[in-house]
Amino acid sequence: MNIRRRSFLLGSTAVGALAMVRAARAQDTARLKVRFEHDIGNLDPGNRIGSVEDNIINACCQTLVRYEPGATDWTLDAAREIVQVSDTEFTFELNPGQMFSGGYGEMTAEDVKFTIDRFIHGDANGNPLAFADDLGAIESVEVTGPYSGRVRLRHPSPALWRVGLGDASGAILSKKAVEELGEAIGTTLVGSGRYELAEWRPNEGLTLVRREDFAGVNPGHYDEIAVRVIPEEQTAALAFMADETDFSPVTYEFRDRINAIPGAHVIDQDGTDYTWIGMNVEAGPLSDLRVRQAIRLGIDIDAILAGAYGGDAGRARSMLAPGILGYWEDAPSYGYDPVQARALLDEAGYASVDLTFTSLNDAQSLAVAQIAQATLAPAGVNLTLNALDPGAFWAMGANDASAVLELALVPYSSKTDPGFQTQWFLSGQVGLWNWQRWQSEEFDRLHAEGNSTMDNARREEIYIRMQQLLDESATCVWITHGRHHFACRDWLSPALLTNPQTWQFENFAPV
Amino acid sequence: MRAVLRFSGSRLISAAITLVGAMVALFLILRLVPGDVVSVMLGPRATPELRARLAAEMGLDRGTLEQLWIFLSRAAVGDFGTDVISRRPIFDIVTEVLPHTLALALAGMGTSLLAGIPLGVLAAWRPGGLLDRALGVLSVSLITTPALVVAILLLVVFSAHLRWLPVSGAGEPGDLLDQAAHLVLPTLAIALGWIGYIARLVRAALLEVMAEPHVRTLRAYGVSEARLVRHFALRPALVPVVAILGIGLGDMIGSAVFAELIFARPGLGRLMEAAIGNRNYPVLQASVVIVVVIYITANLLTDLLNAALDPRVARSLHESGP
Amino acid sequence: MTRILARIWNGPGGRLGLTLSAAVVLFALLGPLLAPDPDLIDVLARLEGPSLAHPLGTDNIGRDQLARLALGTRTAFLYALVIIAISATAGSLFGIAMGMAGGWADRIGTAVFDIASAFPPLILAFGLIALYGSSPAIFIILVAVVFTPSFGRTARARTLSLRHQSFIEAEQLLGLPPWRIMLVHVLPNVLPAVLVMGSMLIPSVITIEAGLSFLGLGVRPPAASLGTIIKDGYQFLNLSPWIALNACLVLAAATLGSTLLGESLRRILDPKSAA
Repeated sequence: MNIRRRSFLLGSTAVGALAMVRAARAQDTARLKVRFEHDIGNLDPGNRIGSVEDNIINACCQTLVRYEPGATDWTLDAAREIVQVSDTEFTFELNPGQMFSGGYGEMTAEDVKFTIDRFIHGDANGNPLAFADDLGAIESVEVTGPYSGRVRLRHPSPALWRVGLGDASGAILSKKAVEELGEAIGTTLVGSGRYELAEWRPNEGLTLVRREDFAGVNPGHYDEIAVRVIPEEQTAALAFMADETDFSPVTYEFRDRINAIPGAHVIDQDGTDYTWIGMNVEAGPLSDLRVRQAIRLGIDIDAILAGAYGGDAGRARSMLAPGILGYWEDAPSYGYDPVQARALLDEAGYASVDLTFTSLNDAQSLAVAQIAQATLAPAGVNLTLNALDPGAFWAMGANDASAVLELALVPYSSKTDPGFQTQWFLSGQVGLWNWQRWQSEEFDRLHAEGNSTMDNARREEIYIRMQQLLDESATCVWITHGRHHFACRDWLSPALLTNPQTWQFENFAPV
Repeated sequence: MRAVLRFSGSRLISAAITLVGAMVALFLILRLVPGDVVSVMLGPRATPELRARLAAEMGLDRGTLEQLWIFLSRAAVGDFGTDVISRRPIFDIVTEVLPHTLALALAGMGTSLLAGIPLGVLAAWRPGGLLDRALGVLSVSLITTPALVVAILLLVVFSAHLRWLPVSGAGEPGDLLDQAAHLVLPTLAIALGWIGYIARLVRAALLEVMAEPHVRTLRAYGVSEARLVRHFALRPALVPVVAILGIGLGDMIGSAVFAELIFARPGLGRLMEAAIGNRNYPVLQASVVIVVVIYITANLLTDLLNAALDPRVARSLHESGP
Repeated sequence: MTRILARIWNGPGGRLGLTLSAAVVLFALLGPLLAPDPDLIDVLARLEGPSLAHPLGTDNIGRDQLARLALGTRTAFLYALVIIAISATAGSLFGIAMGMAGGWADRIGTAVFDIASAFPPLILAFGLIALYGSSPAIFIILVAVVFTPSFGRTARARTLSLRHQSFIEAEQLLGLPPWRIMLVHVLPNVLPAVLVMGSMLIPSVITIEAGLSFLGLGVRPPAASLGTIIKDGYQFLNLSPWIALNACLVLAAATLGSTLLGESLRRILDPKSAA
């Protein structure tokens, strides 16, 4: 098969479907136009890059179970039955007749085993997958019949279903397709899901076409989903206003304008991500707790929210957002108090402190940096701002590059399981993603326990305690969980998951 | 005629030499960056396996000259290696967006010629007249407004407010009319400055030619202005315009970066801008190579066209030597 | 000097050129006197239109636009002048040396210039900045590298035409050291052509700097330059068009003024080149 063609047309069904849909373009309900902020980088579920890939993978592949928007528990998808034999073992039975696109045949338990083995043992070249940890709790998969298998875990793992098997990492791949396509799976996706990737025009957009031979639940409402890649926010908002897209993430600046358009409205949803200003405890004055506490009091969060977030996003008082297990409702909120900050600095013996503040170079991050700089100045803390482009900024996450950081504005994205958030603050992450370089034995211990306890009540205690430890260390000044906005036509009812940047295309329906 | 051929030959050779020289320069530029080459090329994705693989591919264990040869010979056949993120051949990544940028640049060139030449002729018709002075001010204003600014203004006025033209993308593939509609505003953004520039060039050249003795003589004999312009003045007046065609194309490819960003068009400019942001140097390097090839080719064709139009150019340039 | 100014004033386009350029420069220099601190953040007053307190409005974190634009213009001009100065100096030295030396040095130098010119300026800047970063010093040097060949060619051409004039040959016969000939006798004659080239390139440099800063590859925020202000303005175009509009106007005025000025200068100092 000639994989090198730019637009990968998976067989005549897709082409035929595309042509038919294009002919019927007059009906809005047949074709949905959606905006992505980035183009796809790598569609291999194990090596995917960001939420745009998540959305495509979720649409084109099936998982054993999936989470509907707003649901707290999973519903069956590819699996007909899941039996939890013990805390560390379960069996699954697949529905028969689930066909992969591209003529790759029926899904069998072998495909499930192959998919999971890739995460455990690495890809064809033995290289570990980027998202290997999502299924890291699985020890082995055994095939017990054409459609059935047994999965053994290393330890009980509450996160396995939410973050692993029920999410993009758990997308069941066709063994035959992956072995045949090799490295080309990064840009071609063979799945058994509701949609298939019919066309990809790099840097421009792609087209998802609904699959006729999908026999499962929730087959999707729209026949074609035309995705446009528009990185610039201004252009994206204008495109929506010009009827070039029907559903588009937008920034808050455009809320009022879009709400004023007849036939359109803006959906607001609080995010679950977490953005904070982190302090490197190994950097000079920052090793003194009082200095860190002073800085925490000297940053005016309300001014930041008003200035950088347009008064739109809410304030975060701790790491986990409301709605995530372990949300700490009684977390303290530190008001802006430059006088007290000044006093703390004096107590620590510093007349003034000079530090660098590293951030990304987009408008919002810069605004945060400058407001922080301005509000810290009266307390005697002088910041030098260092704005980096994304390549340089995220390169800090490896090879101990973060040792040079002092203050940093860090925006991490979240998943629905708290263990995914807390893992970045472990001792083992120093030199990688723990830019505060703060180490706590108790924190590490609690994290390990939280990952293997199935008792939700106990987990909640654990995660609250962990956030308390972080609060006492005064290494993180929490800013916000973010707020997402989506321009949407009145006739469309979209499906957003807990992290609003991930969508379920098959549940996008006319109102 | 022989002079033209000799000139063409020598220009071809010097273009080839320049091309090779540019490639060598690219090779050296990368090697001169502080830090080891592999880290620079891979940036944040430098896992040990990838590093080893890239080092072997680039032949870093061998001598510099051999590395240069590897780089040059691979580039000559279009092998720029594999992209780290998507694992696709970089050549494919670059060439699939190239047509969009080329279409934009050529449309820009065409537009500036089609609009600029007539404007220049009109201005030269009655030098000092109202039209001439108006065009003078207008052309200079057009020249000096950067493509970036024009693109933003066009987007806001024509797409957002007037809704005459589409905002984003390159149009439906296969639908030429739609693709043309998507080309209009970006083309205007990059071509506006050059319309003014070409108008001024044509005007100046035309005035100079019209003032020459043989033209004046013919005018005295009663030959009409229109015939004078068409038969005697136009061809030599176009020489300076042809001379800058190559440079114009290069400038437009540069401006295309902004047009592509603001109108969300796929293209080489956007690819390069994203590659810089992602620290994806292999893609950036391949893009620059392609641009250089196009630019040198365009300049070569320009020079040859110039020589064909005006044999004096071929003779004089050949005499002064390369 | 006053004679040259007078001739510019009376020439076509010269009046407009001088006025615009002077206006922009004055704006840049006097800005701090007219307006408060450009870095003062007043989050409550964000994205306001023109008012008494803020004659040009405020940006997305409440900074006064008049002060910031003046600062941005100053920065843009400063960068442009420094870049032109460096590339003019380097280009002239190389060009004169090549012209005087002839032979292999000349051929290699010309080849190097040709290679540098094989890259469209913006693309060359892209590639260099991507690899070497864009701290102020490096940015200045890299953009200067992009423009050096233009000066080099101009200087070389003038040197070549001077070289065979009798007074130079006489001096060589007299045994004067080459560097003395270059500095004392060739340079002053090359200078006018270089000045003209410089004045013609100022708008290009300003534009390239604005473009690169817009892309985040030049002047880095939070420092202000015309390019970064246009970028901010573009992102908030929907909420307040003033930011982008004012910056675009200043940029256009600066490039227009300097272009006209450059053309007038060229007409006066180097009348041989075609319009």
